[in-house]
Amino acid sequence: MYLDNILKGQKCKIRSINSDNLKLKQKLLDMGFVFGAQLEIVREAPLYDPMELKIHNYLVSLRKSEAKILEVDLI
Amino acid sequence: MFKNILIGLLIASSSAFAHSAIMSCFDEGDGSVTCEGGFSDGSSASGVKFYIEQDGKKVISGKMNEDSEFNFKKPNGTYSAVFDAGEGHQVSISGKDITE
Amino acid sequence: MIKIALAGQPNCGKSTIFNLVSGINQHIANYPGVTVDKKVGRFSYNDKKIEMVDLPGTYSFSSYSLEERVAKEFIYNEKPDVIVNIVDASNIKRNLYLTFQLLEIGIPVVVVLNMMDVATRRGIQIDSQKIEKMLGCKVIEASGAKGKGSEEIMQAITTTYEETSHYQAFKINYEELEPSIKEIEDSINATNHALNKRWLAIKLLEGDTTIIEQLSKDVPNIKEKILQKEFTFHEKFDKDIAPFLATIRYDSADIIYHKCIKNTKEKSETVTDIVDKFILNRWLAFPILLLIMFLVYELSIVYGYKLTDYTWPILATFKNFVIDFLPEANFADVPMITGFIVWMINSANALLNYIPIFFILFALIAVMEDVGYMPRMAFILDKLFKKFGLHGQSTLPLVLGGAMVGGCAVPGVMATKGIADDRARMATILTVPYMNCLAKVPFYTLILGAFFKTEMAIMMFYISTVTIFIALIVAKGLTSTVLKTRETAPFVMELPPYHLPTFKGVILRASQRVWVYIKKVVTIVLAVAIVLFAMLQFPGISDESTQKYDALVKKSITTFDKKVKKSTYYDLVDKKDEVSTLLNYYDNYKAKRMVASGKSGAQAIDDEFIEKNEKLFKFIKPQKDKEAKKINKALRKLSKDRKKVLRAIQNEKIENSFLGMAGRSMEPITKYAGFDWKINVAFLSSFAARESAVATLGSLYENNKADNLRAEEAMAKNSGYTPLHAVAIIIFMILTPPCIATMIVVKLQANSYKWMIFAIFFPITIGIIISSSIFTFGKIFEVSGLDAMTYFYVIVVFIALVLGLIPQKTINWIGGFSNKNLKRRKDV
Repeated sequence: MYLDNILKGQKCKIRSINSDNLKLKQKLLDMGFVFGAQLEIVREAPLYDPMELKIHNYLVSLRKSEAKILEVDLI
Repeated sequence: MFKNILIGLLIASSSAFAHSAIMSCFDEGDGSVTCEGGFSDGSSASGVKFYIEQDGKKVISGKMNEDSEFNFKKPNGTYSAVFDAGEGHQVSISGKDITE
Repeated sequence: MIKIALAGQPNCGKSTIFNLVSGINQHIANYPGVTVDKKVGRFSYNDKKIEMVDLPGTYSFSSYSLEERVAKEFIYNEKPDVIVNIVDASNIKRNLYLTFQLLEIGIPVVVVLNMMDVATRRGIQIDSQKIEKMLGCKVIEASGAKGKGSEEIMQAITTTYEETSHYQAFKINYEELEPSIKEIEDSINATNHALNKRWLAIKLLEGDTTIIEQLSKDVPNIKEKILQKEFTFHEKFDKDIAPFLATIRYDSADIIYHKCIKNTKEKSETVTDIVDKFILNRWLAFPILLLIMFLVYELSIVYGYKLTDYTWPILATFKNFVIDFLPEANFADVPMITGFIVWMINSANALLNYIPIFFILFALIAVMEDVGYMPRMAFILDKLFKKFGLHGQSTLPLVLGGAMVGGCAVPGVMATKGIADDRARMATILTVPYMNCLAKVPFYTLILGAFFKTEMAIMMFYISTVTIFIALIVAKGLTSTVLKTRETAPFVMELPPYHLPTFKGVILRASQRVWVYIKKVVTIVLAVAIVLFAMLQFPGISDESTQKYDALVKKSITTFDKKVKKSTYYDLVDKKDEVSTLLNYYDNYKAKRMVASGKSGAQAIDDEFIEKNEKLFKFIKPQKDKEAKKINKALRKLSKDRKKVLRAIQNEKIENSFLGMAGRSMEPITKYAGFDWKINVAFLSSFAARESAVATLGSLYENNKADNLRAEEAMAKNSGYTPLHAVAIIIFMILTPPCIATMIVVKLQANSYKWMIFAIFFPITIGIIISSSIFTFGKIFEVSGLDAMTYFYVIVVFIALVLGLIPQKTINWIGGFSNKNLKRRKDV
């Protein structure tokens, strides 16, 4: 399933990044969204977008349109 | 009610900002005092409200004349001369600071 | 000389360390603006010369952002001796990702674990000795904010430098990729390069455009080779190189983390978590946001204004001081140089008088930046802004530009530096000028005081709030049309933990922004003021008029003479030049007395004037001297008369001036908006320097009857305007750019004159069209001023809401053939 469908409080693990947008892909990799990385959904913004995630012990925000390209497995 | 407070604060802060009010007063030595008012951006202060306050009461009231001045008879006791350009620009000078 | 490069991720406190070690003050920023200017510090340590460059904060060393390219180019071209990697100790894993990339470059690295105090507070225990052993480089613990670690860092740097010959190149084992790396390394072996060949090979395989460009010059077919390697790698292992490398690097960081770090408080909530529960709460977020913004403005404007009570006298005293040196006036004949200098000082003082307010405003904003609230504001507002083509990061520039009661567009536009998304950045640059410029406020106050005395509250509310809607509409318009083709960027943004701002840091940043205001706004406006002066003064009044005024002056002097003839002091004032001297003496005294503070101040002024001319002093303060009183009375009248003549001359000058002519020539167009030449002149002069709009307008409507009217009342009575006119004027004022200084800064940030010209003419055109429409329709339908404004407001808000609610069409699918040449079939 894809990250934009994961709900608040859930935890998941990254399986792959599916996108031809090289800039976005590299940015996500740099920020730690690598294969096997674990993350937790902390909350959604008051207007429901972007989402706030906890990954590698820090907090990052991601637009849902960006989260869409991350394929994840629930843990 | 909240809306009024909000708007009131908005006004007070924004319009108060127009320019700084200034005033100086001289004791004429003949029993009267003249106060001259003005604004930091050079605008004329003629027509601006002016009053003398004693014990919380306005004992003399008027407006700055076309030279931005107001002359009044020196009251007995402590008093304050107030240049009132409204909404947060007021300059008040106490009688004891008015020298000859 | 030892060349050092300081590298680290954003928010790691790199600049604090830089300041600590090199003693030069710098700008600390990530979210508000990553400065791409390289900061260099030169100093000595233990008799060694050190050159330290603070590279921009980068999460990684890829090539997709300007900062990364800049940092990499520096290393590639300058080849520093030592790289100092600042790491946020409370966020080690992600920071180590960069550390590994830096180690790979092949240059000796010193790792500085910064913010140790924060880490300790969070229960994070770090075995830095172990990390040192594992990475093979010096690891220093420091706390930049607390000023700890400077000595140890410099010591480590010099030791590392001295031991460079013992340094063994750092290598990460990339397993499956190793053969490809070796092959590429061989291909470039022939090139003469100071940098580690292995690092270059890895960067090439990563697809790093900067390095590829550089090396294509030496090895022409390197591009094809790399593409081929990418293809084969993908075929063989079903993986792409970039993600593969990233994964291995993060896994390496993970190993260090697990072996050297213990997180004793991992499960418990941090302060940040608790605070975020409120700040980012679905229902509380917006109210809290509005409240904070409101407080910021209240504090800066109300208290800043109180401060001007103290700063204004200083500025005025300076003015009086300068006037003392200027040639004196001869009744109504003011020497050009005096007039010019007084004009310049007035313009400068008006601008400088805003400084207390800006200082407080900028300090409060700096507090918000340091505390970490800015990224959260972006997080809350991003969806809304995105709908209009802006970005969460547009928040700060818009706030600086004046989101509620006021701001200044100049620092606002300058703050757009950090917006990564090119399209949103341009949109922000072009919309910040629409926000509430503080200098426009006196203008509104004048007009509202004249025409909307009773409805001032609601009008002010409209004016303050309509600007953000207009900005949004313009942003949406621009991004859908002119800016459509610009690059956009991902929003992936870190939300740093909250921390207390340092007093020094806040004051520093506020001072820097105020300095920008002074440097840019004041210098530009003053330059324009010179031009304005000429345009308002020349060609001057006709000979006929000069004669007329001379006659008036003569009359006043004669009147004066008659009155004082009877006084025993007559001989002191029987000659014309003596009278002139006395008149100037008197006016000078009054001006200085106005700004003197309290009893002692007044006494000082008196002493000064007694010293200047003891004989004449009694005419200023006759007190019991009856004879002197006669002269004093006549003197006052003379002063009054002179002022009248001066005012009349000034008005006529303006009317005949170049600017006046320009104003008149525009009347045919502007009359549809209800503007006559006087309004045109006021707008023209105010575009240059906002403040002069009020003064010019005020003086244009003053007439010399003894009416005792305030400027507002005079305007209301003497102009013949209706509230509808006023509304048209106000709307035009809202829609037009604040001042020339803003336009210059727009050019700087957008890096093109084309956009600057667009930024000038587009709003003015729209402004005229809309003002004219409102005025013309208002007149036809006989709408009142307040109603016209209300209609305008409602229409604007309505358009904004409609645009905001149009669903955005975004690409919603993936798959199909990708256009990378990886999938070329070889057997065709």
